[in-house]
Formats: sequence, C-alpha cells, structure tokens
Amino acid sequence: MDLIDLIDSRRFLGSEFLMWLWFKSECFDGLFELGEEKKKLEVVLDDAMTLEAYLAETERNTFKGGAPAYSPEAKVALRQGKRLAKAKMRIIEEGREWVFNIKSETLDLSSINIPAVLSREEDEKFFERMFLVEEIENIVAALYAEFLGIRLTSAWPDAMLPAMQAWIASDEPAAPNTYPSGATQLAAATIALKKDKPVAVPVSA
Amino acid sequence: MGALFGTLSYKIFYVQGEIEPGWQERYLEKVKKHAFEALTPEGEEEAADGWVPIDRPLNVHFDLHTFLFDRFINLGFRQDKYAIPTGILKAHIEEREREYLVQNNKERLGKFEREDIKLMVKRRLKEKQLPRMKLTDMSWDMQAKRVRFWSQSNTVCELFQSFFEETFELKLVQANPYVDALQLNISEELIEQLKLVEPCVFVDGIEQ
Repeated sequence: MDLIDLIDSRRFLGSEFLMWLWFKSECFDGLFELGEEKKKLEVVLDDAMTLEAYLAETERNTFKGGAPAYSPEAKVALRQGKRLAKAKMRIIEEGREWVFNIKSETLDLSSINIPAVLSREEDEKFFERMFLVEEIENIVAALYAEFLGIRLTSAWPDAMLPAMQAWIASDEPAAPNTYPSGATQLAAATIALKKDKPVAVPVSA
Repeated sequence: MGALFGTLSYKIFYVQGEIEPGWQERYLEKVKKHAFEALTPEGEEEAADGWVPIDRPLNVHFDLHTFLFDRFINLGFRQDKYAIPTGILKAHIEEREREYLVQNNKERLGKFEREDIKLMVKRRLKEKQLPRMKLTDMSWDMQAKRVRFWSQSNTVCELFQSFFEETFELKLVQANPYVDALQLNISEELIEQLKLVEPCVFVDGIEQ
C-alpha cells in the first residue's frame, strides 16, 4: 500500500479518536491527566458537534447550543451507527483556555481561540501566538498518542471497545468506573510523544 | 491573514528532507524568483500566484529580514485573478461584434476577427477593474519541520503545496490521522499495526 492509500484508508482513526475523547471526557467529567508528567487538564466537548454515518456522509446530525455531548439525541445518533465527524472542544490547562473546532477526517484545528496574547510589538505578538498554538497542538498530539497506545494494542478489543459499546447502549452517563482501568498506563508504556526530532514520513509502505 | 492576527484556522504540512547549509542566500534568491508579479490589463494571464512579505502584500522587495523571523520563515501566498462575469463579457463581445460588422460592412466574422474582438473587449474590461486578491499566510517552523498555512480549502492547499515545493525544493505532506501518528514516537511494531488496523464496530449489527 502506498502513502496515499494509507492516508485514505486510515482516516477512520480520526473519528474513533474523537469518540474516545468524548467517552473519556464523560467518564471523568472532563478531567484528564496527560502523559508521564500527569499534567492536569480539562477536556470538554463544547456546544457544537456533528455526527455522520461512517460510510454514508449524507446521513448527518448537527447539534448546536447547550451541551450536546450529554443530550439523548446525540446518544440516539451514536446508536444509529453515526460517529463524531466534527466537534467544538474546550481545553483548559493551568487556567488558560483554548476553544477550537476539530475535524475527524484530517484532525485539522480551526477557529482556534487562544488565551489572551499580552505582547504589544508585532514580532513578539507573532511568537506568542505561535507558542500558544504549538501548546494546543502538543496537547492534542499527546491525547492522540494516548488514544493510539490503546487503539493499536489488545487494550482496545479487550477492554476499551466493550466499555465504549456499553456506554453507547446505555442511557446513563458514563461514570469513572466504566473507564477501563490500566488503559492509560498501557498507552503511556506503549507510545511516547516525540520531543526532539521530527520524523520523516515514508513515501511508500 | 492569520499568522500575525486574525482567525487561527490553518492546515499543517510536514516538511520532508533536510535544509542544506547556506540556505539563507539560496532561499532569498528562490523567494525573489517566485515573488508575486502583478497582472496587467495588457497581459494574457488572467491569474497570478506568488510570494509577498507577510505584512505587506503590495511590496515584492525581499531581503532576509522580510521573511525570516527567528526559526520561522513567514510569507504571504498572494493569488490574484481577473474575474469578469461571463454574462457581462458575452454581452460586451456581442455588442462589439455588431459594431464591427456595421463599420466594416460585413455580414459575418472570420475566426481571427472573432478572437481579436474577444481579446480587445477583455482588455478593455480588465482596464476598468482591479484583479481580485486573495492573500493567505504561511509560517514555516524550520526547527519543527512544520508549515502552517492559513487555509483549509483543498484547492488552495494543493496550489500552495506545489508552489512551496517548487520554491524550496522540499516535499510537503499534509497532516492527517495516519501521518500524525507517524510523527509520534511510535515503534516499528505499532507502525505495522497502524497499517493493518480496521475500523471498529461500536454498535452491534450496524456496519460502520
């Protein structure tokens, strides 16, 4: 399979990542501990989300306003086999807040609201904006790494997927004890965030 | 717009390949070579693309300080296009053709006469309007080998990608779930697993 095929055929990982974020956020009321340093942050699905049927993108439900992640309508859409295609998210770390939209197909972030920029000079403003943008990109990358650490190992079919299936089937909101214990530790042991050197993307598999 | 102020909606590209020593002078020359050249009503081109300084889209004089911000190369990707509405163009051509036939006491136009009239009418209409300008910021973090481009339109991103690759002779790969996974510190075993993994079924009985 060449790179283009791999890119196209692995796009589903984006929607599964967002579904996992939704589930984990509901289990822990949005409170996450990230990476080896157990950095504390709040990850919340905000007031807009779109769910789509995986193979039939025309079957779509868009929710706006309130807290759609907790609405019975969103649960019904999940039970019809729809997956999260786009979501507005809010991430808070050490009192600083980022709000942005994320698309499952590409994992592109858009309409990012960053914490207030304090610099006055234009050059400094640019560096501060880039620093804040990198911070949110690194947080999303760390969350994606945690997801992949679970998704690409036996933790997914053995524990995480059954837990998510039960959550979708249930009318009750997810509780902390419904999140498979040990999955995060397994993820941390399996995958770690690259900190120094960017990785070259092989052009063929 | 976007790198310095405004909305933060962009596409990420990963840069493939290494930056060779002596890049400063070389990139300056390449940026100058690919700088934006304004359209003129007399010219045949109806669209033009090129680099401009990120905060001065009307200026095309470059030196290193124009685009080098510490570890970032910041440039504006300017795309200009004459957009004459088809209906207006057609009406003006028909009118001019009628005038020409009367003036020259002719009943029919030849192929070349028709083409000449079209060119002349287009030029006159272009003289009456300015091209539409689209400006999109690009910020290349050379240390992280990552480019942020302030557009998520597939068409604009594809144009930008080939223009960047042509200018800097480096390949770009758009971010997506597969490529993002490769950017993480992922073992060979997991890379193999990534190639094999299939979509899961969240709801029994519903093919997803």
